[in-house]
Amino acid sequence: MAPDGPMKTSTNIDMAALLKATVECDGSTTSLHEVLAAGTGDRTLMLFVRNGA
Amino acid sequence: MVLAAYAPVADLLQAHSCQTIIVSTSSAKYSSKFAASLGFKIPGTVVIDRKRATHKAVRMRSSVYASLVTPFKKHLKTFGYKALGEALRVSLRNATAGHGHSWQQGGLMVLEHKGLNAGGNATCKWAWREEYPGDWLPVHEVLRDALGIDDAPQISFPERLDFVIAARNALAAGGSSPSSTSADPRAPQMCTEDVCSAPKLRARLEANEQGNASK
Repeated sequence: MAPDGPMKTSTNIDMAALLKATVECDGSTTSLHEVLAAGTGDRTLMLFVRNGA
Repeated sequence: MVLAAYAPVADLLQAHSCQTIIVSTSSAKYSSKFAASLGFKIPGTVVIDRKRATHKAVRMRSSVYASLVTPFKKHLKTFGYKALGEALRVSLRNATAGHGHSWQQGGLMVLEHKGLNAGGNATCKWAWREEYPGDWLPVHEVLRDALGIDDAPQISFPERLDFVIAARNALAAGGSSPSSTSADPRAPQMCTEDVCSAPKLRARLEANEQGNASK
């Protein structure tokens, strides 16, 4: 489905799946939960980039 | 381009207690080489998600049509139909195993996660899902609307393109760019096709900005 209208800016996400997602960070495999918790501050801006850019 | 656009506000974000996480679908090897070839500091922590579990959790769009056709439909007057076929040819020719998922669209999310270490919850406070490549919001609007940062500078995407090219050229002139010296055939290569030329990219970015300004 195209993310038009409310879908494009909807904050309704699967937070449990997002936090549980396995990612690579600094050469280690971890969960996004761990990455967020290891950072400073109470807020995170996530940039989902295309093809590494 | 997104990384270059957010580089000037990286310190401002930190000053407002906001960390930045960059989610890439590229391989670790590709991402490392890409970062080293940029010529400027990446504005956040890079995480690699080859399986796109994070993208699925936040419902980012993945579409061949959106990747190849929509950008040119949006700016057909600038490029014409001929460019569409050329873009398809270049995209397919340049696709490599490590460079990431070509059809996955990007976007932005703002999460709040106070006390996450101590069992606290995380919530999504703001979201922007790109419909097609280059469907970007002005950076100062993102910082203002998503994070309440009113004093962010206005970032020009065409200026950022010039910056990326200058930084890359400066690095290449120094002979220290890994992507320019690597013998790995899968290493990222600069596209030399006319459709990817700086004037064409600049025209597309300016058309984007004019479109945003007229909204």
